Amino acid sequence: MLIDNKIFNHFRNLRLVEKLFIQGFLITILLIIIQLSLESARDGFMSYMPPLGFFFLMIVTYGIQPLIIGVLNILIINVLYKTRGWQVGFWLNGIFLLLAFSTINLLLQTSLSLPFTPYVALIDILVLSFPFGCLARFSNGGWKKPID
Amino acid sequence: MGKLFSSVIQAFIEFINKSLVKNLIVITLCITFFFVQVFYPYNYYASAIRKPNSTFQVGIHYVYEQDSLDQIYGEVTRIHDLGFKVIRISLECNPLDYNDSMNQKTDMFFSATDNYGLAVALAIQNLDTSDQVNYYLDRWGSHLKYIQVLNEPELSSSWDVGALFTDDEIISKFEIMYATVESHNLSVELYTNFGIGYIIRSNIPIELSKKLDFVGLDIFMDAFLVLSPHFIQNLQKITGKDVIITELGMSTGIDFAQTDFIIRGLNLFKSIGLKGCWLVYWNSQFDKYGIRDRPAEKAVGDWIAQNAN
Repeated sequence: MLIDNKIFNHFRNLRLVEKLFIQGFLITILLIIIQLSLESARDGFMSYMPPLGFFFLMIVTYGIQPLIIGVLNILIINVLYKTRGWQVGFWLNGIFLLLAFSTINLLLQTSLSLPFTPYVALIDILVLSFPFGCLARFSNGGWKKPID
Repeated sequence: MGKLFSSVIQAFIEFINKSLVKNLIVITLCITFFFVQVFYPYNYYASAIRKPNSTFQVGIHYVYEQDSLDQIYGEVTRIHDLGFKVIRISLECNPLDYNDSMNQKTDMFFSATDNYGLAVALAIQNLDTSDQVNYYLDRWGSHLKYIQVLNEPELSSSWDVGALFTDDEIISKFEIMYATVESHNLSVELYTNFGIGYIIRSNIPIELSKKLDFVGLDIFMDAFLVLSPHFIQNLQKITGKDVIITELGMSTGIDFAQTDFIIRGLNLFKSIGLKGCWLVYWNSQFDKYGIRDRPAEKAVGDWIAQNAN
């Protein structure tokens, strides 16, 4: 199978703490990239055939983005823990992680009066990767046995 | 004891690891995060003045056209004595008769504001004509510090109630009015104010703000006061300009509610670090927005004495 190669086996042999950090790190990086991309594209969206652009932006932000995050999260779980399937749907899992991420950022930005880039993004990567990994691992999971 | 504890923990982990339970926990947390996002910024800023030393300018809209000529000077004196730094007015004039009573009131108003050194913001409404604006700016333009080009254009009616301006109408109307104002070469700051409806027509502030010095946001109703930190931050982001609250007020006959709303608004906007907040209205004949001769007048005066600088 594609995920049964040497590299993935190496990741599976890591300690739980390391796996959680890798999971949190990857998801945090993805969330930051998507957030920055959406921010830079927002004016373009809003100016595109108003008000259609606004609705497209909402669909991308709260429809497509959570799907991508949810899919990535379960992929990471299945690779790192050698599981199959999922407990929580992609979209729900993705919107949960997105809301958790944006809530933490909102708290940081408001309380510390810091902009998202570069300060809050750096705090996310350096400090919050591990806790975010725990949250991501908790929020979904697969099964060791194949599901019919 | 240790064995019992470990088996309880084991049972708990098995319980929350069930798909149904996990789904419910995730959904509950999603709802919690949503409410935190909605209410946290307001609670954070409203719980204490976060930037006590920041400069904050308090202004008020004076509907002087509803007062008599001999009353206007005294009212401007009262406004000044309360500590207001800016008076916002609507464009009112009669271009056809130099000595018309409306023009005399405007003369009287500006003689008072000049005497007290008060800044004046002129609000050009959406249906005002270029001829009116030209006449006004030729005659009184040098007294102005701020000019508002259009009023809440994203929500305004073009030709009848309910007939909203289209984007094209708003932008072309803005271009015409902007060119009219610019042709007078006045040393004024230009702004346009938006209601919370700008959220779904964000292309309008994005487009108009390119030619403005700052943008205004109008806050009415408790719900929008609570949500205002989000609206302010978003408006700053999309326009790249400073935001000033250009209309804050409550039309109610309940004095306590009006005073409470205005003072909470002033505290909030000062705490956020905005440069200013202008109230509506000083006087208002046809609704209950006016604060003149009501408890809010004294409360705002006291607030300015303690907090504005």
